[in-house]
This record gives sequence, structure tokens and C-alpha cells, in this order.
Amino acid sequence: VGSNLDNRDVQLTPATLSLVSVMLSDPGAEWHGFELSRAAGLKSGTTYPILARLEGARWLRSRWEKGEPSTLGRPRRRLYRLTGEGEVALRRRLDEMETKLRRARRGELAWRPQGVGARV
Amino acid sequence: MTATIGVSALALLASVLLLRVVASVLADEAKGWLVQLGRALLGSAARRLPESQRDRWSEEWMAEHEAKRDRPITALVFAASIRWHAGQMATALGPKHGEATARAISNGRVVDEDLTQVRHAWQALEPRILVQILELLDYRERRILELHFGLGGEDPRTLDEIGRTFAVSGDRIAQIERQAMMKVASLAEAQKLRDVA
Repeated sequence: VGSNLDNRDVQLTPATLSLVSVMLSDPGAEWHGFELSRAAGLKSGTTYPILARLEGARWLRSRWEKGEPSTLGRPRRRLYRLTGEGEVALRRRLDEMETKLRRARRGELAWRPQGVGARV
Repeated sequence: MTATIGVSALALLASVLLLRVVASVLADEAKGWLVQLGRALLGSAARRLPESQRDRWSEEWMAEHEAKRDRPITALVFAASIRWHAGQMATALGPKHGEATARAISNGRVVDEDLTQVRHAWQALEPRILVQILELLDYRERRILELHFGLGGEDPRTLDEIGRTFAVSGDRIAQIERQAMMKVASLAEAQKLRDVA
């Protein structure tokens, strides 16, 4: 994957969050795409673009399954795992989100609408 | 009477057997067609991707598809979902410089995303190669790039200043510059490919 995404460029959409949550449940494990999409409850077509983005951002690494198709009895699959860098970045982003949500729930966030939606 | 019932029962049994054989043959045939259809959908999805990425993703998808061979409907749903989201996949992989250029040119428009890629490609060029490539542009395109970016050792000028030199608006200069930068990027990509070869 030739993208040069920075970690900050990874958008944690609900679909991406579902997928990375599955991977974070066992950070050392390797998964193939269909397995991940099933575990995350996503459509296959949605899963692969997310995998491509995360791989481009170096949050994931992928490799071909070892073994010849004749031995495996089927074509080799591509396996994905979280990188150390990805795990750290992901945990940091999740912590940030959690902190923001906690503060928002307590009404501690300083931002107030200044325009049309402002209280009068 | 008994003989007639016996013959009818035999005929019924034979018909049921025949129907089961036909149904089984048709089911096998249908399975084969579903598998073929799935492969065609995956092939079509792969063709939407940047050329450099096609083989990898095609192999990956085909392997997943093949693993569901005994569940042809699941396999077909998988393939259809991949095909349906192929555009998202192509965006996720990001256009390569040359492909972004080709796409932008063929669409007759430049989107900002393409232009950013093009600019990066251009900035990454070795000065020696940049000089060679600039030689391939027409005079006006080359001059605009030289003047705007101070390539010939001259002080960089604004688009409006260049516009006054060519007696056109700054916007028109920006337009020509975009085209020139895209041309540079595609030539750079071609150069890179030649170097690899």
C-alpha cells in the first residue's frame, strides 16, 4: 500500500472502530479479511478499504499465509495484524476520545456555540 | 388391476428419480454459474484499483471467494459487496501520481486531492530530472513554472504578476500551471518506471 498517511489522518469512523476493536482484543493475532469483517459485523466491501487505509498508516501489517495452495487445499490468504505502532496510536486515540466523552458528559467542555445556535 | 397400479407406481418412482437427477444437475450447474459470476465481479472490482495494486487485492479476494466455494450464495454476496464498494477501495489505496494525473486529465478536471498528489510528486523530483522534464513542456507552461517557483534562479513571482506578463488573469495562469504540473507528474512517473525497468 503506497499511502503515506500519518496516524492523525486515520479517521476512527464507527466501522473502523469496530474493526480495530476486534483486533485490539488480541493484538498479537493474525486475521484474514473475511474473518475480521464477520467479527466486526461489517460488510466485506467496507472492510477491505479500512484495512487498506490502516495498512497505509502503518497501523496494520499484512503478509501472505505460509504454505502452498496444494498443501493448504485452497489459495493462500492474506493475514493482518496490528503493528506495535498501530496499537500504541490506537490506544492513545481511544483514550483521547474517552476523555473527551467523559468531559462532555460532565459538561466540562469549554466550547460554546457562538453563532446561530448560541444561547441568548 | 393390480398390474396397472404396479406400472403406475413404477412410472411415478421413475419420474421422481428423473426429477431428482435433473434437479441435482441443475443445482450443480447453477453453483458453477454463481462461482463464475462471483469471480467476474471480483475481477471487475480489481480493475477499478490502481494498476500497481490490482494483483495483490485480486489474489486476496479470489482466495476468500474460493474458500466459500461450498457456499456459493455466501461467496456471491461477498463478491457483490466487494464490487459494490470498489470505488471506496480505490480511494483508500490512493491514486498513484501518474494514475491521478491520467484520471484528472481524462475527467477534464482536477480535484484538489489529485493536485496535492501531483505537487508532492513534483517536489520529490531530483533537480536534474526536473530540468529534463521541464524541457518537454511547451514554452508557456515551462515559463509559468519557472517564474512561479523561481526555478531558473529568478525570484519567485505571484500568479497575478505572471498573468500581467502573459496578459491574462492570475486565475488563467493557475489553470495552466495545474495542467503543467500534472504533465510534469505524469512524465516523472514515466521516468520512474523507466528507471525501474
